[in-house]
Amino acid sequence: MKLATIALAAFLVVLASSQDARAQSFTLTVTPSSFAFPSGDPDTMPEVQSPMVTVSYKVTGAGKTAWHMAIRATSDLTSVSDTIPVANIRWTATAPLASGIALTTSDQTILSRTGNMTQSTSTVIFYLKNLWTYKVGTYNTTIVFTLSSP
Amino acid sequence: MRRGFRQLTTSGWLLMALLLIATADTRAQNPLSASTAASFTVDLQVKLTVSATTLTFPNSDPDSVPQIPASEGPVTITANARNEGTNQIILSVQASDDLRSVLNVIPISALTWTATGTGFTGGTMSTSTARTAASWSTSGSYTGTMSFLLANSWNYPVGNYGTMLTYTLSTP
Amino acid sequence: MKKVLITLIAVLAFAGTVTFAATDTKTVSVSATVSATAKLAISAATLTFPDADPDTTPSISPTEGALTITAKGKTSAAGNITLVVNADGPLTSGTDTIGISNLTWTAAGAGYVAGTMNTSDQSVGSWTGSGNYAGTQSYLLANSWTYVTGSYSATLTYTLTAP
Repeated sequence: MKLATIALAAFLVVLASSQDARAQSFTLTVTPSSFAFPSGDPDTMPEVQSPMVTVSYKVTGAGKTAWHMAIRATSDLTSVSDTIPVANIRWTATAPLASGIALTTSDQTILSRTGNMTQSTSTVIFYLKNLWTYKVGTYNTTIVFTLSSP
Repeated sequence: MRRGFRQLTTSGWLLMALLLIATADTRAQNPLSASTAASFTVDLQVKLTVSATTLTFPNSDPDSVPQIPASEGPVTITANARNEGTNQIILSVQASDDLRSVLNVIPISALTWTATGTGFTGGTMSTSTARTAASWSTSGSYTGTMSFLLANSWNYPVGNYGTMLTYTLSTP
Repeated sequence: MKKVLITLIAVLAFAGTVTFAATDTKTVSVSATVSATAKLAISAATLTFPDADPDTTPSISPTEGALTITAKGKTSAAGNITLVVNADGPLTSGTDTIGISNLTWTAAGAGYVAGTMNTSDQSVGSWTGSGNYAGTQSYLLANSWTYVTGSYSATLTYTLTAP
C-alpha cells in the first residue's frame, strides 16, 4: 500500500511537470546550413554581403510566458593563425527580427515576445567589412540563433 | 490472488510513472538553437595607384635651380596588398632608358627622389636595376609621396629628353 | 645522356627562381626640356687706366687688374658658343680722342683668345657644345707722350651667344 502511494505521488508530480513542458514549445530552423562571403576589391566593395539566410520559428503553448530570440557567433572569424573580429559583421533582418551593427560572441536579443507566435519566417543578410588589412586565408565561424524563455 | 493483484497494480503504477518521465523530457527544448556556418576567403592581392602618368622637368638656370623639381609636384602612391603576413610586399621602380633626345643622353642617375609615408624610401633611378621605392611586411593600404628631382647642369645639350618609368607592386 | 643532363640543370634553375604571385604595374612618362641659354658674368664693371710716364710705363694696366669672365651656355652638341666685345667709339675727352685700338688684351682659359679693341665685334672666346667656361682678360692701354691731357672714357659691350 505504501509503495502504491509513493508510485501514485510520483505519477502525479510527473504528470504536472509534463503538462508545463507541453504548454510551451519552440520550433526553429536556419537555412542554409552554411554560406560563404564573396571576395572582392576592398576599394570597390568596402563590405561583402552574404546570401539571404532564412530563419523560421514558431512558439506554441506559451500562455503569458515571455520568450526571446538571440543571435551570436561562436568565435571571431578564424583562419589557421589569424582572426578577423566578428564585430566586423553587421546584419539586417526583416521584421519582427531586429538588425544589428556588430556581431558578438555573446547573445544579442533580436526578438522579445510574450505568448504564442504562429509559424513565421524572417530573412537575415550579413555584411562583412572588406579590408586591405586582412591576411590571406580562409576564415570560419558559426552564427547561432537561439529561442529561449526564463 | 488479491495479494498478487496489489503487487501487479503497484508495479504498473511505477512503470507508468517511469514512462511519463521519459516522454515528458522530449516534448519541449528550452533553449532551442539553430546555426549557419560562415566562411570568408582572402586571396593574395595587390593593387597600385599612381597619381601622375607624366613627370615634366622644365628648362631651368643651373645656377639658381641646381635640382629641377617635376612640374607635377610630388607623386602620390597608394599601394594596397594582402599577403600571408610573412613575405614582404615590395614597390619598385625602374627606368626603360637614360633620358634621351635623339643622340644626346642625360644619365638616368641624374633622376633622384625623396619620399614620405610609412615604408617609403628615397633613391636614385636606374635602368639596370629595379630600385626599391617602398616595402612592407603585412597586408594593408599604404599611401606615400615621391618627389622627383633632376640634377641640372650647364653641360646638357639642348633637346627634349624622355624615358619611361615602370612601377611594380608585388608580393609572393 | 649528355643532352638529358643539360635539360635537368635547366629545370632546377627555374625551380630555384623566385616569382611573385601577385603583381600590379603602372608606367610614368618622363620628359625634360633643355633650351638654348646664355649667361655671362664679368668680375668688374669698370676699367681704370691711371696716368703714367710713357717712358717707364709704355703699356698701362687697369687698376682693377685682370677681368674674370664666366661664360655659361646651353646649345646643341655641335653648337658654337661665342663671346665677343666691341667699343662704342674711341676713348673720348671732350673733343680729344685716343684711338680705341690702343686698348688690347691678353687672355687665359680654354677657348679664350687675345685681341685688340674695335668698334666692331672682336672675339673674346668660343666653345663647342654646352658648358661653363671661365677665363681671364688682362687689358693694356698703350701709353704715349702725344696724348692730350684729359679724362677719357668709352663703353665696352660683351655679347655671349648660345645658338
